[in-house]
Amino acid sequence: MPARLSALMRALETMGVEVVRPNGGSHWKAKKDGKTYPIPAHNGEKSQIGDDYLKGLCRCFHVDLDVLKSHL
Amino acid sequence: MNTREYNFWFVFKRAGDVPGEWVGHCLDLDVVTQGTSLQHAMQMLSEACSMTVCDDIRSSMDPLDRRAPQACWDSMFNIANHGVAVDFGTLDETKVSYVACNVVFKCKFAQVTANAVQPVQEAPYLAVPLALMESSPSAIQSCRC
Repeated sequence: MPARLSALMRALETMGVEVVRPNGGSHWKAKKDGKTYPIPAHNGEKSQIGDDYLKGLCRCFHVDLDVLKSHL
Repeated sequence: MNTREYNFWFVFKRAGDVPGEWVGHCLDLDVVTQGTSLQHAMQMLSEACSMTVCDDIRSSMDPLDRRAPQACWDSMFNIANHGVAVDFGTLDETKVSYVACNVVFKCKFAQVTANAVQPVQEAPYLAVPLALMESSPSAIQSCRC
């Protein structure tokens, strides 16, 4: 089940992951403990984010996928 | 000017849960992103990798420490062994479900301090298509990579 980017942003911030919107480009950034991970935002906050992306994001920040989904 | 060259494996597949979208995965950086077409996913993944490499170098981290799990590599090589080499520029994305390619990234940096580097140019990419799998498993052909 895909998630909207706006919901993902809220979930990440709840979990202590900062979301940064650069001035240019099609990606935002998730940041935690000095590590960054790009967030596809080519459709702005309405972007639909699939499970494959969420799994990669969770691997980067050592977050359980089910825990992340529980915040979406 | 300091130049670094990276050799990355990219894989692309249709997003199973977001109709019309393609998922791009850089196995060497374990960075995943999405695009509205195969070409767009390639552009998005290139941008995502540039961002990741630059951020890691700014933070004195090695971007190659982010390697994808072995299962992702096994899956890619399994598909590559059953795919067919094509020209990425002439690829008809309606006829494929999975694409793997090897990409060379060249990053140029200007040294700003003894311990930090400031990228002065986003990394351009050179895609060298390696293999793809047709939509139908019965259409799988041998790889000539």
